[in-house]
Amino acid sequence: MSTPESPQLRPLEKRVRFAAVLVGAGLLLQVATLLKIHPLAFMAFLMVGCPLIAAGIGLYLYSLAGIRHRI
Amino acid sequence: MSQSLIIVFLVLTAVLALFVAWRVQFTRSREGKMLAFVVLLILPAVGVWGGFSEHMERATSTQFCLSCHVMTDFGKSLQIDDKSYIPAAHFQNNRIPRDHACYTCHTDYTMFGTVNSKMRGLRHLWVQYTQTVPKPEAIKLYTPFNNRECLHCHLGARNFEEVSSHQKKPEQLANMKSGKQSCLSSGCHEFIHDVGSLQDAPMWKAKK
Repeated sequence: MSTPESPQLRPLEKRVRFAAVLVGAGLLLQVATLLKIHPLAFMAFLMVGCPLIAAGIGLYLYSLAGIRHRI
Repeated sequence: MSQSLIIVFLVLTAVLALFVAWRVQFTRSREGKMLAFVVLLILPAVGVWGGFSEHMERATSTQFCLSCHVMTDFGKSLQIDDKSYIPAAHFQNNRIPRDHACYTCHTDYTMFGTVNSKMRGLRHLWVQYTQTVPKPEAIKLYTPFNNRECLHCHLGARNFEEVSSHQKKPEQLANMKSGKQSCLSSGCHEFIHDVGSLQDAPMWKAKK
């Protein structure tokens, strides 16, 4: 997927973009783990998918907190 | 939530998240901010919950347990054509759900039984990929099989309470219910997963 760079992209938007990529990647990995019934699929879900999504959500919330801080 | 519904939900959420990443300038508008909030916080949280629930449910399935090679013989032992083999008799007569056969007998019916089972499962996985896997016949239970797991289903059942073999002594039923007399190791129902003698054992095949 192409990600069009904008010269006016704000630091906040860069963080949101990175957060969205993390969340998207984590979700797609979770989909992949659901295609197979195996302990390793469960572990991939727990050890890779969930941390990716948690990192994405955390980064997004951090970005929001940054906005409030500036206000 | 069914498996296909969860997958569709996760794919849609992922597509929306990647859309936000692709058109991040869209978040400058009010609608964009709302979309980002839903797509990057609410929907992933729901998706993780749905995926985790689905994985936990799958982890109780017979297919899941038998997906490790070392468990193959234990799965075969469910097909032994001999009524005295407790696991086989339970499996073949639908006394336990066939698609959750292992979990039904091998989880602890306590508050943290499922959590304990999962922790043991993690240990098994660690051994599977980092250490030498023991032979199937060398695999033993961590603790003696607790009557509680049998009584979870059999307690109160007529063929358990009134069967003559459980009435030989006046205190026998009470001892079984309190765990003083083991169902398995007391010599009454001792034939369990005898994976060492599978080659010679007659096998039952379900008619389709």
